[in-house]
This record gives sequence, structure tokens and C-alpha cells, in this order.
Amino acid sequence: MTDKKNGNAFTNNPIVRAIGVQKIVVVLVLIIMLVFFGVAAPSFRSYASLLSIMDYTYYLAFLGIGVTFCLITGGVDLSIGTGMFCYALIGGYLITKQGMPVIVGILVTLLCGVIMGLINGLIVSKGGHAPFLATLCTMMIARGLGAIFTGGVSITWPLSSSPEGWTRSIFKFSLASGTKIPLGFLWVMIAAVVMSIFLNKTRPGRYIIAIGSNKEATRLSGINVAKYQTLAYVISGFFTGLAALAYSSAFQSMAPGGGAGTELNAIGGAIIGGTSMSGGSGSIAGTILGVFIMSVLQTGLPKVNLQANMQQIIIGVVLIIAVYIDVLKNKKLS
Amino acid sequence: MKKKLLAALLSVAMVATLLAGCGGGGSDTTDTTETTDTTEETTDAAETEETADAGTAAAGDLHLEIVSKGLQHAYWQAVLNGVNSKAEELGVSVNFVGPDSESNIQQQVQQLESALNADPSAIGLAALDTESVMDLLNRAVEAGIPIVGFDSGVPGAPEGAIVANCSTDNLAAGGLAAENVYAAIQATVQAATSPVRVGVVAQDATSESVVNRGVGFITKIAELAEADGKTVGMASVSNERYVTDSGVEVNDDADFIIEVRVPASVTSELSAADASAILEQDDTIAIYGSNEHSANAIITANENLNKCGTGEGQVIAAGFDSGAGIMDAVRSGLFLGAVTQAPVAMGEKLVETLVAAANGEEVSDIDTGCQWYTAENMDDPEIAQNLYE
Amino acid sequence: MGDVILTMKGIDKSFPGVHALDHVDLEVRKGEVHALMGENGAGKSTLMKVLTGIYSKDAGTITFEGREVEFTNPREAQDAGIVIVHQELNMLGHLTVAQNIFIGREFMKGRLIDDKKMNEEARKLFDQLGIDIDPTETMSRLTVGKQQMCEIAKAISHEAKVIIFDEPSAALTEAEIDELFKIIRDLRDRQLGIVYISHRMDEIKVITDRVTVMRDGGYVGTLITKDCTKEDIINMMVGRVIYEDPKTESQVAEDAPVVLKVEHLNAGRMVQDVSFELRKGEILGFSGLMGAGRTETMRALFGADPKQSGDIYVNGEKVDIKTPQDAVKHGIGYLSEDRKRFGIVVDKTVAENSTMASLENYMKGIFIDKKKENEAAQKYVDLLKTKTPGVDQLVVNLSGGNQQKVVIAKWLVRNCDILIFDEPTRGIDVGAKSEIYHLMNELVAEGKSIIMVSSEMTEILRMSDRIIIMCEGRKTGELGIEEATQERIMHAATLRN
Repeated sequence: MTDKKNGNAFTNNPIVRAIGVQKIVVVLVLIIMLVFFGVAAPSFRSYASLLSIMDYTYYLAFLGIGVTFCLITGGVDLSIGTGMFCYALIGGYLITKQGMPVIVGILVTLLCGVIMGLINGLIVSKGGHAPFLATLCTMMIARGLGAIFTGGVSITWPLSSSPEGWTRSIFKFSLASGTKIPLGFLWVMIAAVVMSIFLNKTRPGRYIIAIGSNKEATRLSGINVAKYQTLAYVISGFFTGLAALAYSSAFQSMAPGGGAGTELNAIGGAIIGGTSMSGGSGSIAGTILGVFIMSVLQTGLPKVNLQANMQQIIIGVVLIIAVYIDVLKNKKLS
Repeated sequence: MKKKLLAALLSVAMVATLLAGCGGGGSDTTDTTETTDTTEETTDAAETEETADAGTAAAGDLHLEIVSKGLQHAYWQAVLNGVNSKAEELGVSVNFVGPDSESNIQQQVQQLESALNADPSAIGLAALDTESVMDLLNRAVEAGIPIVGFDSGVPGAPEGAIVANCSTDNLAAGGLAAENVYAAIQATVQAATSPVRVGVVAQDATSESVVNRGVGFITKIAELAEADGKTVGMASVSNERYVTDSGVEVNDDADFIIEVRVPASVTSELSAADASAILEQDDTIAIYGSNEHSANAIITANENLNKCGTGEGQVIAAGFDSGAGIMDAVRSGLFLGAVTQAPVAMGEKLVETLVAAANGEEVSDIDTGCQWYTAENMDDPEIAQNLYE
Repeated sequence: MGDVILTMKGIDKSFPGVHALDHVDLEVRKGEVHALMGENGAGKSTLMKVLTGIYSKDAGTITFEGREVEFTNPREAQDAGIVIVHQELNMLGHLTVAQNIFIGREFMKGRLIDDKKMNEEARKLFDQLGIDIDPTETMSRLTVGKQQMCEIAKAISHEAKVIIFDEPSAALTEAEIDELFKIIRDLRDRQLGIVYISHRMDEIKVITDRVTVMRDGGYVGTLITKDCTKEDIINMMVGRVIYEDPKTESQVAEDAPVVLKVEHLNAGRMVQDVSFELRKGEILGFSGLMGAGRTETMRALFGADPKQSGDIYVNGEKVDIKTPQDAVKHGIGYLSEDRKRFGIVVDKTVAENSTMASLENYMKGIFIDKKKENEAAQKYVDLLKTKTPGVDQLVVNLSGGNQQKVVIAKWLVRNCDILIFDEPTRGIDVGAKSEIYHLMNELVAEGKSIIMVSSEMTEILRMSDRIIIMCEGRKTGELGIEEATQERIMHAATLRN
């Protein structure tokens, strides 16, 4: 008795519907991109390229998983880009400049994320601010905070050669033979599976979807909307903290005031993966796939001898296409 | 994309507000100088002799004001050490200040104003932004207080406002890196039957010092390769500013190709991608990062690629400045070496020049020098004093 | 009919400037379907909102199952057993049917949600009700009718003792209404108390046992349905208000020229190959169920939404309307069905709203000529008898009917000859409604032409010279007022593919 007027044989195929049309398309695009870069840049066909792609994937995937929750509530978290830098700067500062134990730096990094997420969530849910504006403000605050905390200098996390450098093997493990294992992929996958179950199989996850689908109806169903809306931002903050660890592991150093624009790569990844800007629908698996598109682009584009500013333009165009597809989807729904 | 534009506009507004909010504070008088002992020990004997003359000239109790770009960074601490030791030696009092961060222009303006109000004998200045200190420069000229630029100096200052500059000659410093790198690859270049490639990872194409360190490297290494009878060209992917400033023409078919990559914004992940793109090309034989950020990017990229080193078939890598990452890379042989500026000497020469200017002597620009350091010489006291993690 | 389960007595509620409920009584018994009737704005929905705790009452008592109660939110009412099936469906379109039914009280298996159990329980509920819906289907893929069935199933799963249906049939086809009635009778037989809010007189006679009539926020009376006639109920509902005489024949002159001609208009799924003509001095009614595509047709015609194809002629000349500005230029004005969103700017004054569509005529250099603006606004306030303390009053402070008049003034100031009234009397009180009708008749007498989109059958039959009926984006019927009856319109309105 369902309304299948808008589909065709392909989109109504039960297997296709279970996986989602968009995800299938994204996988195809991903394959096409890999083939393209492989042909256009011989150096792309290497294990080292895979490692590079992974370096980009870790932090973007964590950011993407977190922000997917905000997007599903119909909101957005713009503070994740500068936030990631801010937390990494603070954590790295404590370790390298204050001589604190590495574990303290890691915990503080995560804690900063959670606190910022809580602030975002409360401003949005209790303060009633538009998520776009609220997190735009905290985006600026995070940028300033990181610079003030470290006194305006760049921070380099412990080198892999130093005794504190073990943090780096969490994401990239070196075998005795010198071969690097992208261990971080495992953590990203575990995080994705756990958060996917959380989103689809637990009450908080279900209510986060419900809020994005119809906030008023959710409220009328007796659900504490403010609580679960806040939770979405706390999740985003926590994963931004994880992203900060992944970033400092892959790229060691960060300058104060950086990170603006990174949030768009993560949000773009989520939208490419089928998460809607207007809320109510989205999947962690889709976000991971979308993030892969972004990280393959970031790794591949410099290798095909494109100038840096041209690369930015291409990534911008990809994001416009992704958002446009989202707009089209919503039009079709209404 | 509207969001991004809006974000950009708002960020500008926010930075301005932050700056306005952070005025005051951050000044640091250098009466207590714990670190002077070490610097005194390492002061060059010849220089002591030289400054002895200046010392006699400065019989009166001169007061100097020095406004730096910041105090936190170890580089500035090294400059401060040089200033303190020389000041003590010459018996002049110095007030050395700097803003909380290198983006806090307004705070620096206030500090320069306070310095002027103290009616010093001379002022040393490393301006964050020439435009915002223009009025104060004019006031100094009217009051007859000589200003000596140091580090990056006061670029674009009006004629006569700055009596001299004590700074690293960045073109020469880049050239120093080129000479050492070329010495290591010369045999390979001479024996090469197919084109070879040398990469430069640069942080940006706007900062005068960063660009000059890159351009100095390019012009020097091009000159050396041409002397060996090779045709030299820039890779077409290279940044235009570097092509124009170095005068080396774009030619992807040359025997000796120089490739300069500049990221769209200064973040580690973008620079690492640039470094990877250079290192992954089969014909790359050397790579140079023109500041700490870029050199770190080479180290990051190499973690995945494992190509840098001084052994057979490896890519020769060189950096600029110090810092934990680069020093570790030099020590372990990953980097052939790196160029460091001489901040201690800069501090010393700055004080000498200020004293001379205060005494009405004719002063001229001084190159405070730079050093090439390798695993072998980096523990020499003369070099070690200029290295910091 | 069994014992009394719910009694509301002397319920009083005021909002700033409006006495919404004036000592209203309502009594519901177990095993009865109790109709709550009244014109738009009579206070039916407000009464139900007081009952379910969305509004707090100023005075009066509510007794439920023998105890006095006061709910502070719908959840409390729900837990006690009073559930409302809303006119605007409160569904979560992205979740499945079962997930919607059990939202907020999911079945758990450990810490995870047991979707399988929820699907089974939902299926049991549907079996019980004799409804054929797949619990795993995504809510937004169901038809409006099916979605309503889900709402009912949800209500029943709450072990409701009283279920309130707020205009449930507004968007349903005849077949769906039959199915709905079957379910309602079934619920009644299970000794539930049912409150049924509707406008449709025929339904009331078919399904309800008793009728309580409200008018202007007041209680008029309660009747046994089978003992009264339609006319009795209508008289109670309408009371003192005398409407314009219903039209029995078209008032349009035989030789009146065609002022607007639309041919083969296509705009998405909701507007498919729609063609019609509008003649000078005519009121052309557009009838159909909710979601028939009438508003979408008007928006496409007005240039508010893009159209794929179709030709539009104004006074015989082909025009190109891509944006609302184009439409206004050709003398077409549009009164949106959702005044607050599209029609007026609530925090601007009457004068500012009046001249909004024709500001270029009220300029002095680059500045707005305030004096001229106020004069023009005052002229139409007088003409339309808009009740406002002055033209500098903020529109937000006016009643719905007077807000509507400000919107009309906006287009009259602009000198539009073709006016599209989309649900012109929705949400305004009975007196104002009569004035709007009067005004529309005056406008056409002056030679303006009106397209009136309305979901109220009585309004369509009372005002139109000719009626066009739409269903699922297509034009499915066209009737002159002489031949139009409620039955014929309903028939065309449910002509699906």
C-alpha cells in the first residue's frame, strides 16, 4: 500500500532501498575517483597514498560522525573545525610546554571537546539560538581560545622518536620492518559501528532522529527535546576531541587560529553520504563514505599537478553539488 | 558557500574584537636575567673587542626600548638573551617587550606608544604591521628618537624613519641552504641522463621573509646547476610569485626542474599533501622546507613515504629554523641539515646599533647572519645557542 | 450509550483581545460519538487544547472518570487516557510506522531498541483495527489517509478512553472516510468516548450520536443527532449572522470578456495540465480535498513557484510570468492561504503593509512619502471597514479577519484587477467572514475578477459563479453554480487515476 509512484525498478529494489541509493552512488563515485587518480598520477597507486588518504580520513571521519548527529537534529555544528585545532593546541601545550603526562593531555583534549559541545547544545536547546549562529560564535571563540592558551605559538605534539611519541602509534603503527599499519582505520570503523547502533537502536538515537523529523511532534510525544538536542552537540564535541587527537597524530603541529574551513569538509562529507541539512535523516555509514570522497580528493588533487587554489575550487564545487542534491531530495519529499 | 563568506567576514570582525579586548599586559621588563650567564660565555671574543669601543662611547646612562613581535617563542627568548648580555656589557638599560601573540597588532601599537612616552635614547622595533605604527614612527622622527628595525624590521616604512635594520639576510640564508644541498646532490646531477627535480615547500607567497628564503634557495641552486651545464626550469605547477621573483623561467622539460608548492591556507595537512606530492615523483632528488612549518610538513609526508635521507637513492632534505621536529630530523640523518638564524647575535648587534644610533653615529643595515647546521655540528655551543625546540 | 466519562463545565479562556471560550460545557459518555460543531473560529480547537493541557483554562472544571483533573501537557492527558488525533498530523516522516506509534515508549531488549517487537505489536494493533499497513514502511511514504490510521492506532495503543478526532476527514477520500467510520464505530462499541470535530453536516448525521454546537467561543446547546435536522444544527451554528444570499445562478454578464486564461499549466506533481478561464466580474471557485494541488496551481500561476510549461493570457495577451513581480505587473494579486507566512508582515503597521506591493507610487525622491502612504491606507481602512485604532497600528495586534482585510487592501492599493483569494476565511471569526463575503461581491460588482480557493463546501457553493474541482494535481471537474451540488463536487474531488 505504499506510494511507489516516484521510484523506478532500481530505486524500488529491496536491496537498493535497504542500502540507500545515495550510498551506492557514492561508492561508484569513489571507485571512479580512485581509478581516475590512479591513471592520472602514477604515484597515487602506492601504499603510501593509502596511508595519506587514511591520515585525512581519521580526523575528517571523527568530525563527520559527530556532526552527523547535529545535522540529523536539523542543526549544524560549525565549531568543529577551529574547535579541533583549539583542543589539539591545548592538549599539546600541556604535554610539550608544561611537561604534563601524555594521558593528561589526551583527556584534556577530549574534555575540552565535550565542554564546548555542552555549551553549543545548551545555547541551541535552552537559549533557542539558531544552531548556525550559535556554533558560528563558538567557532570564533575556539579559534581565539587556542591562540590565547598557547600564547600565540604553534604547538608540535611529541615526535614519534620521543618517549611520549607512543600516541602516534595509536593511529599509525610501525612494524619492526618499518612498514606502517594504518591502525586508525580500525578505530574509525569501531566508532562508526558503535555510533551507528547508538543512532538506530537506542532511545537517545531514536529521539535525535525524531527531533530532526518533527520537533513539535517529538515534544508532544512527551520527549525531553532539549536534553537530546544538547546530547547531539555533546557527541559532536566529543568526536571533535577525538579528531583533534587523530589530527595531531597524523600532522603533529598546528598553528593557533587555524582550522576554519575544516568543518565544511566534514559537513560536506556527511551531506555527500546522504545526511540531510534539513534534519531527520542521515547515516553514519554514509558519512564515512562521504568523508572518503573528501580525503581521496585531498590526497589525489595535489598529485595531478593542480595548484593549491585550484584544488580549493574543485572541493568547493563538489560541496555545492552535494548540497544541491540534498536540496533536490528535500523538494521531492515535500 | 555563502556560509563560508559569512564565516570569513565574521571571523575578521571577531579577530578585531579580540585584539581590542587584549590590549595591555604582555610587557616584560628584563631586569632579571637568569639566562645571561650562558650567553656571555658564548659571546665571540672578537665581538667583545669590537663592542668595547661602543661601550666607551656610551658613557652616559642610555635607555633603550625594544618592541619585539612576541615573547613566548624560544626564538625571541634567544634574541632577548643576546640583548641582555650585550646591554649588561655596555652598561645600558633596556626594556624589552612584545605582544601576546603575533596577530595582536593593537597590543604592539600600545607597547610602541609606551616606549615612545618613556623618551628612550633609541628604539628597536620588529613591526607586526607597518601601517598601524606609521603615526608613531612619525612621532619618533619628530622627537628625534632613532628607530632601528630588527628581525623582519619595518617593511615599507617611510624614508628616514628607520635608521638601520639588524636582520637575517633571508636571500643569503636561502642561498646557504642551496649551496649545502647542491653539494650533496652534485654528483647525482652531473651523472644524470634524465631530468632531476628539486622541490621547495613554502608556507605562503605573501610573507617577505618566507618568500626570500625560498627565492634565495631557488636562484642559488639554479645558478649552481647551470654552472654544471644543465638547463634549469621551474615546474609549471609552481607558485607564480616564486617564479617571478626568482627569475627562473617555467620549463617542465629542463634537465634540472625546481618545483615550488604553496598551500591555499597555512595548515599542516595541506602542506603535508604538498610535500607528499613532491616526494612521490620518481625524479625528485632533493626537497627543502623554507620554514619550520614547511620543514615539519616534509617530515610528516616522509612518515608515509620513507624517502628522505642521505643514503643511496634517497631524497636529500633540508629545512629552515629549528624546533623539536627539525632538530630531531637533522640529528637522525633524515635531514641533511638546516639553516638557522642567529637570534643571539641579532640581539647583540641590535643593542650595538641602537647604542651607536643613540650616540648620533652613522649606522647602516647589518646582516645578523645565519648558520648551516648538521648532525655533526649542532651541539657546538656557537650553533646550539641559536637552536631551540 | 453508557456512563458519563468526561465532563467539561463552564470552561472560560481569554487571550489578549479575544474571549476565546465563554463558559463552555461538554459532556461525553462511554460508547458514544459526540460531535463538536461550529463555524471556523467558534472555539472547538481551543476547547480541545484546554482539555489536553496545551492551554490552561481561566475558569471551569474538567471531570474525567469521576475525578477532577487538570492536565499541564498533552503527555499527562495521554497517560490518563485522553488522546487527540490532530488535524495537522503529528508524524515523524523519517521514521517507520511502528517507530511512530511507539515513540517515547519503545520496547527495549537490554539497552537496545527492539524494533522487531515493535513491528509485531503494531501489526497486532492494525489487525485489531482491520487496517492493512506495513509497520516497517517509512511514514512519509504513506498517503494522508493511511497516516491518519496510524495516528488512530497510536491513540488506541495508549489505551485511550477518550479519543478526539479533530476534522479527520478533511483530507480523506470517500473510501478512506468509510474505513475511518468503520473504525470509529468499532471503537464506540468497545465503550470508548469519541469526540468528533467536523464541518461536514452529512458525516455528523451518519456517524454521531449527539451534537454539541459552539458559536463565537460560546456554548449554544447539545442535541441528540437522530432527533434533529441539518437545518436545526445550521441555525444553531450560524445564529444571528446573516450571510450573503447564496448564489443560485451566475452573476456574470453573458458577454463578459475573458480576463485570464490558463492553458496546460504544469508545475511538478501537484499541477498537471491545468487549464481554465476567468471572466470579468466572476468569482471562480476552486474546490478539492487537502493536497489536491489548488494552492500549488495558484502559486505557479502567480510565479511564486517555477512552472514546467503552460501559457497564461491576461486580457487576451500572452504574458510571461516567472516571478511574483511579473504577476503583479500584470494586475494579479494573491492572498495567500497562510497569511502569517506569505501575506502580511506582522510587525509592520497597517499603512506599511497596505502599500507594500506598490511602494514605488508612494515615494518622494528616495524616501517613502509617509503622508501619502497613510492617506492611501486610511482610504482602504474606511472602505473595507477594517477595525484598527489607526493606520499606524502594528498588524500583529489585529484580529484574523482584519488582517485579511489589510492583505486585500494591499492588492487594491496596487490596483489589481485579478485577485486570487486562497482560503480567504480560514481562521477568522464568523462576523468577519460575512464581511469578507460581502466585500468579495462588491469587488466583482466593480468589475474585478476573483479566483477563490476554498476547502469549505458551503463557502464554495455560496460564493462561486463557476466551480473548478481538482484532485491530485489535475482538474477533474468544472461546474456552473446552477448545476453544482455538494455530491457532484465531492465526486469530482475524489476522481483519482
